[in-house]
Amino acid sequence: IKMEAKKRKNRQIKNKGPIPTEEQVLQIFEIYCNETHEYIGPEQMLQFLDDLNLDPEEPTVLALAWKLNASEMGYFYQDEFVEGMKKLRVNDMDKLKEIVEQIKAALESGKIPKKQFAEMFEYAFTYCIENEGQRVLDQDTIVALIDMLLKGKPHSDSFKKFLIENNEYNSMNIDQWRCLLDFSNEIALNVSNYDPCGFYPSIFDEYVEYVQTSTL
Amino acid sequence: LMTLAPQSIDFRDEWPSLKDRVRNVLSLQKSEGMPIIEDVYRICTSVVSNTQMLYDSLKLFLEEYIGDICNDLMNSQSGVLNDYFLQWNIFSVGALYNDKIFAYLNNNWIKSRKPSTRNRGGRRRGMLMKSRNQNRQELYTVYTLTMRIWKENLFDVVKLKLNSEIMEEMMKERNGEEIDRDRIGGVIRSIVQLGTAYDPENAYSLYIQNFEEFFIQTTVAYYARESSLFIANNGISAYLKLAERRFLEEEERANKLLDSSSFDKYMESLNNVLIIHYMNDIQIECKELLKNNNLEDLRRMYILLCRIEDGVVPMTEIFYQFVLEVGQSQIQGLDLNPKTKGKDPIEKIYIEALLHIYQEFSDIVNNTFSRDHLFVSSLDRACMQLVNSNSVSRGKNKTPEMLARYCNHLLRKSNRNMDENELDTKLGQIILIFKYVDDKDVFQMFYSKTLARRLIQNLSVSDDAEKVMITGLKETCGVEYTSKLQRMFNDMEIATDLNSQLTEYLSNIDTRPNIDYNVMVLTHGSWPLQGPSTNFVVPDVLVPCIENFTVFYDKVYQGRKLSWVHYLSKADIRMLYTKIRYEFEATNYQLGVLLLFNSGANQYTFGEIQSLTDLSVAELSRIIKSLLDFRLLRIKSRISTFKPDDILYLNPKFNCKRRKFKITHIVSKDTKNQIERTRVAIDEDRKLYLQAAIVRIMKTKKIMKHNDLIRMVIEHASSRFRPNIQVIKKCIENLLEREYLERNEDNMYSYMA
Repeated sequence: IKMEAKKRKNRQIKNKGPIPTEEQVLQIFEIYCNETHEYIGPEQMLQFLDDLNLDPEEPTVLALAWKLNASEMGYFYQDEFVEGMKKLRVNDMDKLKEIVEQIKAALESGKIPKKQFAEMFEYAFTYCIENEGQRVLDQDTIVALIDMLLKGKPHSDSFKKFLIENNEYNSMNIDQWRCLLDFSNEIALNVSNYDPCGFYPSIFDEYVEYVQTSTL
Repeated sequence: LMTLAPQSIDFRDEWPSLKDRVRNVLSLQKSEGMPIIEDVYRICTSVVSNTQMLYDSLKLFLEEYIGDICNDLMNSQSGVLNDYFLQWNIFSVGALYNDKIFAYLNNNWIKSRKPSTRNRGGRRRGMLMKSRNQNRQELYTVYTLTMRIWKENLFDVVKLKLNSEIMEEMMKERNGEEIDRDRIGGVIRSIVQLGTAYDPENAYSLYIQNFEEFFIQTTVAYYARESSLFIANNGISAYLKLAERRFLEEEERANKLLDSSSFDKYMESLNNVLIIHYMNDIQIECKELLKNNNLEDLRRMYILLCRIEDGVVPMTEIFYQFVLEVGQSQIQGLDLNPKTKGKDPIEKIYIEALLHIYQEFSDIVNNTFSRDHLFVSSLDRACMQLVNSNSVSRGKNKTPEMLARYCNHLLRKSNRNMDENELDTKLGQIILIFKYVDDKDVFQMFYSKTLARRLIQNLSVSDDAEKVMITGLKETCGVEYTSKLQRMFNDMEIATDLNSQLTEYLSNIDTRPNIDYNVMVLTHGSWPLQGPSTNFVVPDVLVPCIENFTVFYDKVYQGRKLSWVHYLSKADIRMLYTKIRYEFEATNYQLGVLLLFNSGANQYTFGEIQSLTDLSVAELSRIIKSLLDFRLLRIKSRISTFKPDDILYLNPKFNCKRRKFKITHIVSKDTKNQIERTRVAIDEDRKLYLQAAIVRIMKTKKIMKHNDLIRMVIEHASSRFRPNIQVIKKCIENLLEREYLERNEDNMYSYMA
């Protein structure tokens, strides 16, 4: 096992290039951070993303936040930024742009390992949590997330519709959110292979019923 | 005297006389003694070996001798069977004697040459190899040789005729004629004996191949014809009798005549031809017999099918369907319209109907089917389905509610007509139905409500009967199920003691109120009572009672909080303003209203009464209505609902047929609202129960697949109710949210400590 890890590490070093120094990363941080040098905040974010050719709405931003393990939406705190950039082997803006392009391409092609995508998917939920102790995300947030992460997947449109039309389910908790990804991947468009006695939370039982009644 | 030394013998001189003497022995005509044995010895031990000659000559002689017998048999006038029997009896004995005569030959020559008795010592090998080559033919001991020749030269020739004559006799007997069983039995036994002697290692193969097979085949063909003809003319029902008889006969026949090794085989082939062949028709008939309640034929069918492995299973299935059908249609046909006059309450009709169905079919299972466990379980299955979903219950678990109400009906004082034993039996029957009920928690809820009412209002017909019920419930569901009920009883028992203590206490204090009273203290949480729905100003006369009791109670039990439940409390009131001193019982609320008139005023508006008593409009309206109905009060005007200005006054002209009466109107019938609330409460209880169960299971198992967890929860809850899978799912989700559980990558649940 030790041999494998070493090999992998070597490969990574080859692919990603050298680990940047703290100064190199801080240089980038300094360009965009706020007055107190604590974070890159919402006001600075637009410029930052713009310089990276990123639209704030696109999933690449979320992926980037995930890579940086950002704790708060709209903010990149200094320590998060530094750690994250180091992991990504970013030593200057050009390298960062390169990495961002890679991420963008990976997302668009869909060639992301299942486990990684699931992690990012779950991360997206917690990322959107604003208040401490908050357990659910409201309808609008969920819809936005679906648009960002499940674009083109079989149930995306109809599930959004279901959320809007349904009176009982106006929000989702993280467990339901997690299962949504599995559901999208596993369950057929005509929900013929869905078992209501299975492990999917009841929101999906409702959704399936919704699909079945609307196709009648 | 004979010498043992080898002598010179000329075999040709010796043989003729020996041959004749052998014939004598074989035919049992004359017994020969030592001399013949000595002669054999001399021949065997002669200087020049004569043993081979002796053997060969003996063999030839036997073939001749037996051949003659065979011819006689074939030409017999009195039948092969008869003669064979006679000949065999002689021959088989003679052969044994003959074998003894040639004992020396057997032991000293034959046995040493037979492969099975060959000595494996090295020294001998050379000699024996030579003798093996020389003696290509098989060697047998004399007895075996005799029997083999009998088999090959006689038995094989006559066996067909023998068999067919035996079967003729069998037919005669089956048609009712008497036959000579000894002869047949003897012949059959002789065949077995012959087979043993002929080929000891496969002793039964001769018997099986040359007799048994034929016997069974012929019998089967006979019965196949007889049965199909009979059924065509008389139907299956009557056929059962015939089959029963034939089985008994053939069993007896097999035991007496056939070798015991044939019994199982024989019975199996009879099972096939008499029963299995007609299985379809029998099953169809089964339903008819049930419809016509033809118990005798059903029993016959049952016993016949028991002979076959899993033979009764289709019958149990038909029985199950039938019970269900009959049960459902009887329930559907019940007249449960409460408007029909002079009838028993609905719950009684319904439950009694269920009981009747159970009893009827239980009797059949016990008597006709000998309490066969397969039928018992069929009945259970049918009853379980019938009790829980029929035209009355229709998926809304009405049955447990009805059962509890009927139970209440039985346990009330109004049921005085039933004697103790009758009541005990009835309660036992209630428990029986109870066992079939899926949603036992619904029963518990209604039962505890009705029990509470009975206890508080002292309506129980007998304490013993109540205990019988509790015990029955405890035995079925466990202590936890009846714990609250038990506590209710305990409270009542304590109340009796407490009240006598109270009386003593009151006699010793000065501040004693001049009203006699007693108090029932109920443990909160054990009694299914709701809090009061309205405020109430306690009448002045009662205040000292309450105060006294509170002090007293605090002395006995420190630190307990008492909440007074006036809507369940009653008062005995005496009317002093009428000519006749009426006495009547009323609720405390009613008391509160009436006592206002003691202050001197003889009329109040509705609004005044309301503000003085602080009762809610709804409750006060009910009370005023009851007082008006009993004509204790009168009203100046009224349209439909009471208005605050309506004036009420005591009725000076009050009269009543009875001097003592009750106006208590403690709501006895559940309103629709209350029933709905009860059901909601049950659902809430169930959710809590399921959640507790899930946590308990997950704590033990740590990690579980979704389907396994569901299964275990259903099993766990089965003694209380049948949970809905969707409800279980919601409970799991609730626990996920509260972080008692978490979902891992494989979509299994793990317990979070």
